[in-house]
Amino acid sequence: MNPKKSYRFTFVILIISLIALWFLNISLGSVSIPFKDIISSIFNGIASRDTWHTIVVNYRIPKAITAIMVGAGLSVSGLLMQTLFRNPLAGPFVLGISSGASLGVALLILGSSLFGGFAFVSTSNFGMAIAASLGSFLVLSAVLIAANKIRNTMSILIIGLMFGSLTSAIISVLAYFSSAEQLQQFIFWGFGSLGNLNWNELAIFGSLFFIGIVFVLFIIKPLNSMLLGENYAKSMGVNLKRTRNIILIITSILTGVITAFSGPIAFVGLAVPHLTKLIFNTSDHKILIPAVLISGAILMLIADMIAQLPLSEYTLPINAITSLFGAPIVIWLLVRKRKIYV
Amino acid sequence: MKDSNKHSILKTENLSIGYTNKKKKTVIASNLNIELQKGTFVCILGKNGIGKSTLLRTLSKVQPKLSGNVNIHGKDLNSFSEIELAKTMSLVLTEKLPESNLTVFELIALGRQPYTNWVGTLTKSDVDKIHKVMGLTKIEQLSKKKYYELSDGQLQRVLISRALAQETELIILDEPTAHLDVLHKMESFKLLKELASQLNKTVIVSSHEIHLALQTADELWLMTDKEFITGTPKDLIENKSVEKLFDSDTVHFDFKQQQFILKQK
Repeated sequence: MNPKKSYRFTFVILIISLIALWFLNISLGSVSIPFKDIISSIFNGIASRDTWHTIVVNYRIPKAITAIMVGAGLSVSGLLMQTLFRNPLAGPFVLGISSGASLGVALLILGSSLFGGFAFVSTSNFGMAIAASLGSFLVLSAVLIAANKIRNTMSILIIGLMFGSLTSAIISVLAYFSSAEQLQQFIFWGFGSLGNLNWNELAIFGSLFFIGIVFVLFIIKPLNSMLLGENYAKSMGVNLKRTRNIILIITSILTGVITAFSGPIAFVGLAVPHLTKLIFNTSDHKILIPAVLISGAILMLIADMIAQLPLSEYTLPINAITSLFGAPIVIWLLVRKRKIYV
Repeated sequence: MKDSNKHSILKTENLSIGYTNKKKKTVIASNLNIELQKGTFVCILGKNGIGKSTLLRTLSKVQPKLSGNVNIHGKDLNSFSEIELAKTMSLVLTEKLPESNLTVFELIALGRQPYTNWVGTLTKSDVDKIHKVMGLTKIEQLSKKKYYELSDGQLQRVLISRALAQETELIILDEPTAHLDVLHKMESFKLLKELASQLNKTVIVSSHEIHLALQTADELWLMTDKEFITGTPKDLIENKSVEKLFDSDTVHFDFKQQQFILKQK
C-alpha cells in the first residue's frame, strides 16, 4: 500500500473536475452561447457575435475566477481556524469574523448617514474591501486576545458567537438610522454575489488572495505540529506567537477581501475542510491545504451554476445555495462515516 | 571536579518556581539546587500539588521561572532559541491530544520537525530513524493505525517514541503512567530506565509510583513541604528521607515492602 500514490490519484481527479467545471460554469448563463463560441472567445478572442464575446470575457470569466478564489479562500481559512482552535466547529463564520467584515461594510454603507464626515469615502468595491478587512481583523484579534486569557476552547467559541451577536446588534442600530436605499444596498451585499467584479477589481482581489495563499504554504509545518496541541508544538521548535499571528493575518485578509467583494458567504469555510478530511482521511496539512483549496473552488463553481438557474433570467443569492445544497451533503457524509470519524 | 562538570547536563542554582499573576507572586518551591549527570533516570516524587509539574514546566521553559538559574550544558535556558531547545529537550505531557486523523507513524514523524525542511519533508534518514525508534519501543505493528484507536498503554509508547524521534539528550515526562495498569506501568518504567542506561538519554519523570521509582530510578528528587531532597533511592531510604514524602497519620513507609502502607491501629 502506498498512501502517497492514492492521494495523487484523488488529486488528479479533483484537478480535472475543477477544469471541467470551470469551462461548464462559463458555458452556462442566462444567455445561451454555443460551446465553440465560448472556446473561441477564450482562446482566439473572437466569437460569432460581439455580444457573446463581451459576455464571456467581461462577465462570465471574471465570475468563474471569483468563484474559485472565494471557495478556495474561505475553505482554507476554515481549515486554519479549525487547526488553530483545535475545534471542528470553528470557521470564519462561527467565530464572528464574517460578522466583523459585515460590520465594516455596514459602517461604510449605512454609517455614512450617521457620521456625515465619512460620506466622501467611496462605497466602491475597493473601499468595501478595506472596510471589511479592517472589520474582520478587529473581531478576530478580539477573539484571539480573549482566547489567550482563557484556555477553554468552548469558551472561545462562545466568545466568538458573542462578538457575532454584538456586531449584528450594532448593524441593527445602524440600519435603523439608514435610508431605504442604503439598506437595500447592504442587504443585497449580504445575499452574496460572485458576479460584481470587473477585471481591475479582480486584479486586486487576486493579488490579496495570492499573498494569503503564499503565506499559508509557509505555515504548513507549524500547523502540523499544532495537531498535538500548543505545548507539544512549542517543544518541537514552533514559534507559537508568530504562527498564531500569521494565521490571524491570513484569515483576516482572505475572509475580509472575500466578504467585501462577494458578501458574507456562509457554510463553505466550515464544511469544505470537513468534506476534504472525510475524502482524504488525513490530518497532514501538506495534503489537506491543496485539497481544501481545490475542493472549495469546485464547490463554489457548482453552487454558482445552481444559483444561475441555467437558461433563466434569475440568479438566486449564492449565500443561500451554498448552505441549501451543501449542508445535507455534509450531514450525509458524517452519518455514513460515523464509525471511522470519532 | 572538572571531569564531573563535563558530564553535567542540567544544573539549577537557587531556582525558585511558581506563578506570577498581576503583582502577586505565588512561590511553590524555592532554593532548588540540582545538578544532573548525563544518562541518568530521575524520578520526581511528591504529593499532589507539591509542584512536580511546575518544576517540569519550568525546566522545559513552558512556564517562566521566578528567580535563580537553569543551565543546560552550561548555557542559560533563556538564551536557547526554540529550535535549539527542541533539539536538546523533548516532552511527554499528560494533556489529552486534540482530535485529529494522525496515524502512529505521522505522530512520531512530527518529532523530526526540528530537523526537517520548511514544509516538513521527511528524508530517507528521517524515515529510517522513525522506524528504528518504533523497533526500540516495539510498536512497529501499530504504524498505520490512527492514534485514537490505541489503548492508553500503546499511546504512551507512541508518545515516548515521538520524544525519542526528536533525538534529544533530555527527555521530560509528566506523570507518564497515570492511566496505566500495573503491567504497563512497570513496562514504561523499564523502557525509560533502558533509554537512560543504553542510549545514554537523561530522563526526568514525575510520578506517584513510589515503589517503582525506588526500584528503577538512578536518582530521586523528593519534593516535600519543607525541603527538596536529591539522592539515590538507596541513600534516601536509609537516611529516612523517603518517609518525609507523606507526613500523615494515615500512611507510613514500610522498609520491607519498600512502599507506603496504611498505618495499623
